[in-house]
Amino acid sequence: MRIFQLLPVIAFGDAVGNDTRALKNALIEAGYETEIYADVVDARLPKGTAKRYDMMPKVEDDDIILYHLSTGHKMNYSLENYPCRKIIMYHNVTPAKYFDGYNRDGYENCRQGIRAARLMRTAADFCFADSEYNKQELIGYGYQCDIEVLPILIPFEDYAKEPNKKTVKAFSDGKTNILFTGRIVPNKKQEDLITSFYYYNRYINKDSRLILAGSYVGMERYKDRLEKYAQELGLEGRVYFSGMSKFNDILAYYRVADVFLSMSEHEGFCVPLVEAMYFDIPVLARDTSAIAGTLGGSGILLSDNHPMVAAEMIHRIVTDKELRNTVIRNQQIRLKDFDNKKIQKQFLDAMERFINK
Amino acid sequence: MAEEMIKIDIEAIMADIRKNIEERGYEETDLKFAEVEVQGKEGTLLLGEMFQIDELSSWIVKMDDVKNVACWRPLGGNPVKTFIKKVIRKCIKWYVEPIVEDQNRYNHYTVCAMAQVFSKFAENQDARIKELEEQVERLSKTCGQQLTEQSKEN
Repeated sequence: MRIFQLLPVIAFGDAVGNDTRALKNALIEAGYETEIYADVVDARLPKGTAKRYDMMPKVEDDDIILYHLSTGHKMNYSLENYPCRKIIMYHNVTPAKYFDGYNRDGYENCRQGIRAARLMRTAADFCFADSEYNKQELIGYGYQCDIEVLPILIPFEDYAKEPNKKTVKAFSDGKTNILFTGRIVPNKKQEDLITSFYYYNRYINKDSRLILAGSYVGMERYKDRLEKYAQELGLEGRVYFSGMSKFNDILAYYRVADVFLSMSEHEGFCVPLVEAMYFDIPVLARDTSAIAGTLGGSGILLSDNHPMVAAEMIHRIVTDKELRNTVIRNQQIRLKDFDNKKIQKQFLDAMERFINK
Repeated sequence: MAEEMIKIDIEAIMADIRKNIEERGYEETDLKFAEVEVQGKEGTLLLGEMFQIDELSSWIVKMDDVKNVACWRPLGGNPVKTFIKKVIRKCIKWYVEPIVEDQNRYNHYTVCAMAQVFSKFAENQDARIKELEEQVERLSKTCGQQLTEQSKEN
């Protein structure tokens, strides 16, 4: 019996790629014969991480396929053709509407991804979902098999690496740094971050900065609109778009941040929330999709989405030491639920139960 | 024993915040993100952009404006340098001008072809709009008839 992890693209440094690699390591440690196959294997990955999909051996009846579903791809439709048992690991597909007007390929990928997610319900013998939100989405698509919520495995050991000292120095100028990490895409509502920051900067603290750390490749028009919006609000020079950053720069942004602010409208898990918890940055987030599930009672959920409320809450977190320490303490407790050993054990226990069924 | 989170009194904080909002005298900005638009930057190829017929038309107009490549830029400045440039131009004119003429002819054909493409898209769009209007009219008639029949029964 072999366990094959399949996914369309295994990328270096992204959440799904990291999760897939970590699961492979867990399976190997538990003594399973396993490999990752992907249509596209990022050349930056260490040698031997994964193989190309066209090199996959013939699948036997007693094998298991663990398929990572997060986007539209022709591989989605191949799953039902395999004779073995299949597990879908659902990472969520962003609703296509967020790419409408910005990126035709992104729009089509998401539309196809959601279409495939619905069709694949008959192929799945079992599912993992990153969050309760993702699980409910699968149920909404008509999945009748068992679905277990399994948080994403996050490589915390990487976060202990050295940040870029120059970047740390550049942003340690006494300004209050409000951070959001994540791709520049409409579902993350960076425009609402800018609006909240506008009120904070104009009415509360002129000595502040909004750092939007994330790539905007493929979403250049959206980023240009955001930049123009910030400019027209008089925030030129105060909203920093990092673009695609090296990992040590991302670490630097976390090191200099005073608050992590999220106004995302749609997230399947939101790894940056956990990253902020790791770096003891108080999290302030809009209560949508999987956000509350990932925070698990920690952080502060905005019960009112008005940007003035967000601005005042930022001020409160930055100035009220007791509140700040309480939020950080709660986050430290929640962080333990994402301990890799714990999640790996949950995963392996679930796999064992599935195999022995 | 697992550590328990400390409950934060969000309601109390929100009450405070609402008070602060009143006291700070915020003025809501008139600018809405939905109203912010950008054009594609010069020199940027926006691959993967959604198709918009107005944008196609706008690019074709821009192509038409610049389709004629000028062979020679105006000369000016230092008289000695200008004289030397004039001499060089005279020497290579026989080679450069036919190439530029060919390029301009190609540019003109390209713009004409793009204009035809635009016309086809516009025609398809018009036909689709007409089809949908006829469908709406048919459905309206059917609904109207059904409502009349229902009211007669009642």
